[in-house]
Amino acid sequence: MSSVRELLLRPMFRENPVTLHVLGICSALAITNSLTSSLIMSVSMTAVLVVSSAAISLIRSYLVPSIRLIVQIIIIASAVTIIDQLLTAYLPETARILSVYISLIVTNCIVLGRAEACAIHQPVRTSVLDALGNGLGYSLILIVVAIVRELVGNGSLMGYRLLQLVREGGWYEPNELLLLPPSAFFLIGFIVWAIRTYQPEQVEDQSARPFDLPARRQR
Amino acid sequence: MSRESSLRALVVVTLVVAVCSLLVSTAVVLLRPIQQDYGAVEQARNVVRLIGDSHSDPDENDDLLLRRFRALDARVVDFESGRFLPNAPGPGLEPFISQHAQTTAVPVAQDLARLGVRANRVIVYLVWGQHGLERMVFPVHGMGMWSTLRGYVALGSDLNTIADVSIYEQSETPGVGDQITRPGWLAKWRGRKIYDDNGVPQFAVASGKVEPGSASALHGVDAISGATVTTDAVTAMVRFWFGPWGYQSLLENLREHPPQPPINPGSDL
Amino acid sequence: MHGLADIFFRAVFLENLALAYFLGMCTFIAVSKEVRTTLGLGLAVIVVLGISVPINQLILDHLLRPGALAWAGLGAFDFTHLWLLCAISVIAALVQVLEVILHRLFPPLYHTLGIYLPLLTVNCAILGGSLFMAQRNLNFIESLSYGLGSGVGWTLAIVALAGLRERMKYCDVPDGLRGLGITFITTGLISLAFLGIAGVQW
Repeated sequence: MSSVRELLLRPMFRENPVTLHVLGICSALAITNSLTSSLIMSVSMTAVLVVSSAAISLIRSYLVPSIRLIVQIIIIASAVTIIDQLLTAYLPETARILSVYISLIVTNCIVLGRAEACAIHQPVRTSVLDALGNGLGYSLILIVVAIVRELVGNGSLMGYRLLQLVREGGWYEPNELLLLPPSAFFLIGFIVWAIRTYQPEQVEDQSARPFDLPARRQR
Repeated sequence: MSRESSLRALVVVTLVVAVCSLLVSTAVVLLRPIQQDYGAVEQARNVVRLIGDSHSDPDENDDLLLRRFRALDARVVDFESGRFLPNAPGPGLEPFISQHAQTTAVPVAQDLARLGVRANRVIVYLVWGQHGLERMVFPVHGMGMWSTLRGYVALGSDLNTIADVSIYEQSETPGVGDQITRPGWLAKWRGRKIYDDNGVPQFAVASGKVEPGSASALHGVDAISGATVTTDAVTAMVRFWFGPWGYQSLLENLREHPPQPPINPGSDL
Repeated sequence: MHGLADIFFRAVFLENLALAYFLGMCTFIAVSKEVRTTLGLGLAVIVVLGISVPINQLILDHLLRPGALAWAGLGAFDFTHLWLLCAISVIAALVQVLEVILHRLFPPLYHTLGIYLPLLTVNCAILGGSLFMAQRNLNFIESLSYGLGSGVGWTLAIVALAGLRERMKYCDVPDGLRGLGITFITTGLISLAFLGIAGVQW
C-alpha cells in the first residue's frame, strides 16, 4: 500500500505541480479571492484530471505519436465541457463567476502534463492515483491561497462573516489588496519560499523545468 | 510512419471523436431542462425584487417566485416606433423576443454605454396597483470597467422618479467598483429623477457627496470613492437607456397616452 | 466598442491577457528568462492568436450559434456546447499546420518561432483569447483586431518580465526565494502596476 500513499502524497507536498513545476497556476490566480469558487474549481479540476487520465491510459496502446496530442486534447476538452454543463445546471451562480476559467482547465498544463508524463505509459490504476494526487496537490495550494485572500481581504470564509467589518459596524478593516488578483502572485511566491526554505534542494538552477522545451532543443 | 499506422491513427481519432461528442451531447441534452429553469428563476428574482410588493420576499421558493413573475404585465418595447408592440403574445415573451432578435448598430457618438449594438426590442414589466400603474421595470446594461454591467431600473408612476434599482451582473474591481451592488448605495437612488424639466436625462452619479436639498440632489447620488470609472459607466448606462436610443420616446408617448392595464390582470398573488 | 483601434488598445493594455487575466502564466514564467527568447515566443503567440481568434469567430458564428445553420435547414439547432471542443481543436490543428508550413517553406523563421509552437497548444492565453472573444460577441473584423491586440499585450508583458528577470541576476535574493519565488512576486508587482492603467480612459 505504500505505493498508493506515495502516488497520492508525493504530488501534494514534495512535488507539488504548482509550486515545483509552475504548472496550472493561471486559474489559481484569478479565482482564489473566494473560498467557495476555489473549492469548486479544485473539485472540477481534480475530476477532469482523473477522468481524462483514466481515459487516456485506457486507450494508450492505440495512440500513435502523430495523433497523440490531439486525441488527448479532445478527451480533456470533452471532460471539461461535461463538467461545465454540470456546473451550469446545479451550481449556476458559481458557474457564472468561474465562467471562462472552467473552460481554461483544458489548457491547464497539469492535465496535459500528467497525461504526457504518466497516463500515456502507466496502467489505469497508477494513472488514476497519480492524477488524484496531482489534483489534490493543486487543490491544496488553491485552497490555502483562497483562505488567506478571503479572510484577510473580506473578513469572511465561504461567504460567512467571521470578522466584523468596520463599514458594517465591526472592528476589522479589510485589506482589499488581497481581493485584487496580483495578491495571489505574492501569496504563491511566499508559499514557494516557505517550501524551499524547508526543502532547499527544490531551488532550481536556471534550467531544470519541464516546460523548458525551447531551451533544451537549442542546446 | 507506415501506411498501416496512419490508417489506424485515423480510425482511433474517429472513434475517440465519436465517443466524446456522444458523451458531451448526452450530458447537454440531459442537463438542459435544469439549466433553463435556473435562468428563468434568476431573471424572475431580479425583476420581482423591484416590483415594490411588500409581500414578496426575494428568497421565497422558486415556484411562487415564478408565478408572481409570470403574473406581471410584460410588454415588448419597439424602439423604432417608441411604443409597445401591440400584438405580442401574452406570457412567456422571451422566446418571442429571441426569435425576433434584431439589433441596430449604435453610432459611436451616441453610444454612451459602449454597447456597439442595441436590440430593437426589449421586454419591460408594468406593475399595476389599485390606483393604476405603480411601477415600470426596465432592463439596462452597459460596459463597466472590466465587463458588462446588467441591472433593472424601476420607475414610479410619474415615469421619472426612480423607485428602485438593482445591478445583478458585474465584475468590477473587488473592493472598489463592486460596491455599486451594495444595497445601501443602491437605496440612495430612490426618489432621484431621471429627466429634468426639458425631458433630458440628467441622472448622474455625482463626483462627490450629494448635499441634500441642493440642485444636484434631484438627479444625483453620491459617488463611490475610488470607483470613478465604474460609476461613470453607471451614469452613462442610465443616460443611454433613458435617452434617445433607449426608452425616452416610449416614455414620452406614455405620458401623453398612459398605458392601459391588461384586460386580464394577472391573478392577485 | 469604439472601433477597431479601441479594441486593439484595450486588449494590449487594459485587458492584457497575462497581467489582467493571468493567462498563459505557465509559459510566461517558465520561459521569460532572457529577453531574446521571450521575443520569439511572443511573436509566435501574436501569430497564433491573430489567426486562431478570427477562425474561431467564424466557426462560432457560422456553425455553432443557435440559428447559424439555418441555411442547411438546421435553424433550430444550438451547437454552442461544442464550442470548447472546436476552439481547442482549431488551435491544436493550427499549431501543427503552422509548424509544418514554417518548417518546409521558411526554415529560418522556423528556427526562431517553430520551437515555441508546440508550447502554444496548451497556453491558456491562446484559448483564453478565443473564449473572451466569444464572451464579448465580437464580429469577424473585431476579432482580428482583438486577437492581434491580445497577442501584442501578452508579448509586452512577457518581455517586461524577462527584462526584470535579467536584472535579477545581480540581486541578492534570499536563498529560498531565488528563482521561482521572486518571479511570482515580481509578476505580482508588474500586474499591480497594470491595474493602474485600467483607470485611463480614451
